[in-house]
Amino acid sequence: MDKYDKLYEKWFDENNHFKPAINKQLDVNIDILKKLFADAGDIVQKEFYLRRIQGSIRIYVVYVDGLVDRGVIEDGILKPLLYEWRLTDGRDLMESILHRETHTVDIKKEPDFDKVLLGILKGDTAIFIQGYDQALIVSTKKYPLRSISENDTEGGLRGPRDSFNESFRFSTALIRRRIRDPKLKCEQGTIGQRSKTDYGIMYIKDLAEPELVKKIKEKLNAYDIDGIFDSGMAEHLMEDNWYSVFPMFQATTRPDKVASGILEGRVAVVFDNSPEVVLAPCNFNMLLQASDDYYNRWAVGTFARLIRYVAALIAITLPGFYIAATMFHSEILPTKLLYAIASARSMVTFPIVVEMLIMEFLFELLREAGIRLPGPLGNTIGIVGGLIVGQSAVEAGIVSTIVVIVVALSAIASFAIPNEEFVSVYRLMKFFIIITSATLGLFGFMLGLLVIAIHLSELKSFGVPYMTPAVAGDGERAWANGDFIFRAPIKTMRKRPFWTNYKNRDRLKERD
Amino acid sequence: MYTQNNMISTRQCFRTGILENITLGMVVIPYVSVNLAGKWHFPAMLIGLLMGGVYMAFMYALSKSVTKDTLEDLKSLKGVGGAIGILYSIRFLIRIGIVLYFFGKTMQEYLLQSYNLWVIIIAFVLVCGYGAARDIEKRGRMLELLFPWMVVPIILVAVFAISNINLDELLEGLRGVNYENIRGEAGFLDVLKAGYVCFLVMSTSELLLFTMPYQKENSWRNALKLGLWILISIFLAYIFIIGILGGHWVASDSQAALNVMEAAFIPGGFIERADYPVLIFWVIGVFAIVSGYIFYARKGWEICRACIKGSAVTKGKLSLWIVMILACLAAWLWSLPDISVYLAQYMLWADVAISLIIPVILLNRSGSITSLKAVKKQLGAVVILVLITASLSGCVNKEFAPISKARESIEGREYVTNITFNGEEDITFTVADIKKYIKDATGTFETKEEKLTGESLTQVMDEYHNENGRQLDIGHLDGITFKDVADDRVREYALEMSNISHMGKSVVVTIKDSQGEKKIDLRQLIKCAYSGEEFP
Repeated sequence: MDKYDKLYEKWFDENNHFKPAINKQLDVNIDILKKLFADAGDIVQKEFYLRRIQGSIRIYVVYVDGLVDRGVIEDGILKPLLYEWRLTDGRDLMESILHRETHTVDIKKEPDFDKVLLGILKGDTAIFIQGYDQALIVSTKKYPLRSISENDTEGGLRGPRDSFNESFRFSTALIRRRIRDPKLKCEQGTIGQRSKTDYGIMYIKDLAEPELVKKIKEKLNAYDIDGIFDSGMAEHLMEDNWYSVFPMFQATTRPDKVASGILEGRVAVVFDNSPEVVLAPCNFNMLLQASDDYYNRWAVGTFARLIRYVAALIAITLPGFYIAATMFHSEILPTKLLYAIASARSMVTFPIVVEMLIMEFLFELLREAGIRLPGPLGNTIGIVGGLIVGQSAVEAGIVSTIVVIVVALSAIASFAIPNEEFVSVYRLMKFFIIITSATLGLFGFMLGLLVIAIHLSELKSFGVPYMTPAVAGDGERAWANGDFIFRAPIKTMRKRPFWTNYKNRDRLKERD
Repeated sequence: MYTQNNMISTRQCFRTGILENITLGMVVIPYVSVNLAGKWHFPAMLIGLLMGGVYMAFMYALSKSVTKDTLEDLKSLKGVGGAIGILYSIRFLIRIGIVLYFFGKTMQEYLLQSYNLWVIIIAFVLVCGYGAARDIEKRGRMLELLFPWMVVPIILVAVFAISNINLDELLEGLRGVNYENIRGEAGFLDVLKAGYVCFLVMSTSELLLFTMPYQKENSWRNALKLGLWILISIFLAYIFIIGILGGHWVASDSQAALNVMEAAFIPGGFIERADYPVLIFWVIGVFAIVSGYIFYARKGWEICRACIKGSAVTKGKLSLWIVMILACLAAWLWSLPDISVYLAQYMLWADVAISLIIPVILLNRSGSITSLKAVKKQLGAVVILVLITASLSGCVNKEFAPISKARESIEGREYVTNITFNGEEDITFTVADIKKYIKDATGTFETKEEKLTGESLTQVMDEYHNENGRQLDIGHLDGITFKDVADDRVREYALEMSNISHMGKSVVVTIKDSQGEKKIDLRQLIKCAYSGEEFP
């Protein structure tokens, strides 16, 4: 065990909290910081002397290079403290720095060494002063970030185009920009013993059920984990039905979607370093809704939703149905179509199910390769795969043309689903249906769908049935907000969904 | 939070009730009433519906008087409670057995001829078990979600098949004209018995007793609405089936009702046969019944276990697996002719009686001791009856074996466009040559003729398959011709074709003889073959 191991054992408890307190003797603090940040080249530590009426006073400044705005440190803190001679009126030095001398608003006293360290690692600057057992924390964060860019995963023809980026603060700002309500709360905390990732629970106090907020907080604090690097990881920790393939949160990069969710009494959880904000509760219907549905006219929105529901059905069932119909029940097919399929298959070596699995695997392979490759190359692989490999596979007698059409149709249908996480589930379910159909024909096809339906009907996201409003527990309540496959005109969507705080269910009223 | 209250909504209760109660009734009641009551089938069916309605009313009245946890409360009766629990469990297992056997046979005959019945039943029981492993709230949500998947296709088929009903023929059928030869002279007792069996088919409504107390608003309006919908649905299905297929066909085949769906013409022709999808959606209804029975059979088992151990009623996974295995065995018992006779007798005379007596006694469980004594006596009698029937197992049968060989892949078949029957035993198949169907891009194909000889259609087709390695597919026929074939022989062929499920029944049949040429569709020909009427 080297000397650092012994020190770390002495300084940190089992939850990785720093135990020592800030000492009034600055040298003690400096010694701790130097040992703690030994071999950490990006940590800047420097001692300064302030000239005051009491004499020369030592201060010690610590920050992480690259995470801070040096302009704020130099112009807002060091310059006023070092170059300006101040005749203090005898008031306490720390109070004087805090309230009079520094040129920044976001500065506070912090007695807890652990929180000071956390502040430093988040990009704040810590100032230790000789004779004080507290430190000053100045907010100087300036992370290397990409700017707010156009949304490329949840696009739409109408509506705002901005999207969240990896900055926690930008994300909260984009939400608050849309909801200027003082009752919009953002309860912040950190998660991850080592990553100390910032998160914020955002909700409107009088719309979100207090029980829901409490439950989300409990879930966030239920585990000790090394690090959280994306909202997806936290999402999986928070959900009850961890074994299910269906997402229990709605993850989105669209600030307007989050704002609209919050106005429906839902709770958003924003994580630092993650461009996806998660919303709870969530249901199946929400994952098939797009923001444009509300921005376009009601009939257009309804039609788009109908198309998406049909697409979802095709994405999951078409390959399985094709297998069942051609392998077991060819009588169901129109005669000419059957002849076309049989004729096309006359050159194919493999049984229908193997043929389908080969083509589906090929498609998944191309998709995976396309994601890993940079933009233009990704597009190229799609074209190469789709046209050349597909065409060659048909000519070589590995697959038939009809199977290429079926796989392409189900793939296109899955792309119509507006939530990427949900699309992945559909891809998995498609394989499940293929297997059940290949085993027992249409009977297996239906048993497969039944298993999925049974599973879906038992799921709940924070107490809300996942298949709401198709199963709402109460017929009238299901249609209260007119927001299912049929998207009611905005004028008639007068009620918030039933999970909203029951005292504030009205969202639209006519003025007197 | 929100809906976690172990209750179900009015809509959930309604949908659960409909799925559990119309699924079998719609298919089986027409067969039962015509088969047992002959020309008096319509009054017999009405008697059955009336008895079913009264029974449902009784169950509703009882459900108003019991608590949600009626079954769990049996535990307070200790030994008697345990016995009632296990009795309920056995009763439900017997019911599961008959439903599973009927359902499995139907699936085998219509969809999976080359599969062993065990495979079909076990796969289905596994899914039903998965569905039954939920509490009442989740079960309510599950059936609420599945409801439109069964009901909407049935309504669509009814709409598309309505043109096949001949009103005059239907009215004659309801009056029983020409139905005398189905069952000779059915007497008053036969009519009553047929009505009683119709009612037995509807006895799934017993489940309402256990579902309704969980309803948030258990009002008589909701119960009346549910009851009326069940009765009306069964009645309309009856009219459709008799109107389209005729009584003779229905009386001869317990699964004939499923042929009604085949009569539907789907606009656009994107599906050749509407009966297949509807049959598949019908699976949902049977799932509702079997999963319900498994749910309560398991509960009965758990109550018995709790009574013996003196512990609380819990839901163990082992009990679910045991019930599922027993359900498969019960289906097997129903397939044994020797045992099914006893099981049928039990169903006829004891099962419904138990379902009437025990709930009443349960209501008085906190009352006099004499009622408990009565329970013990009745229990003893029924348990002995069940034990006797169960002990008669051990018979061997071939019922579970596949009923045909596996079909070739679609490229390994010869697609028959026309069948011509010449004289007594010559059959000519006109086969489409589709190898160049796509390459020519003309949408046309050449045909060739295969002349074969044999006593029956299936025998000839099997021989061709064995000799040539390619299978004749008669699922897409354009027409059937009988040339100089005697009427009796035509009837024999028609009856044979009625049992070939993958053969469409809307095919045009041409009968040529010295007197001229007649054209009718195959469905009509089959109806005539069953009834013995002259060909139109």
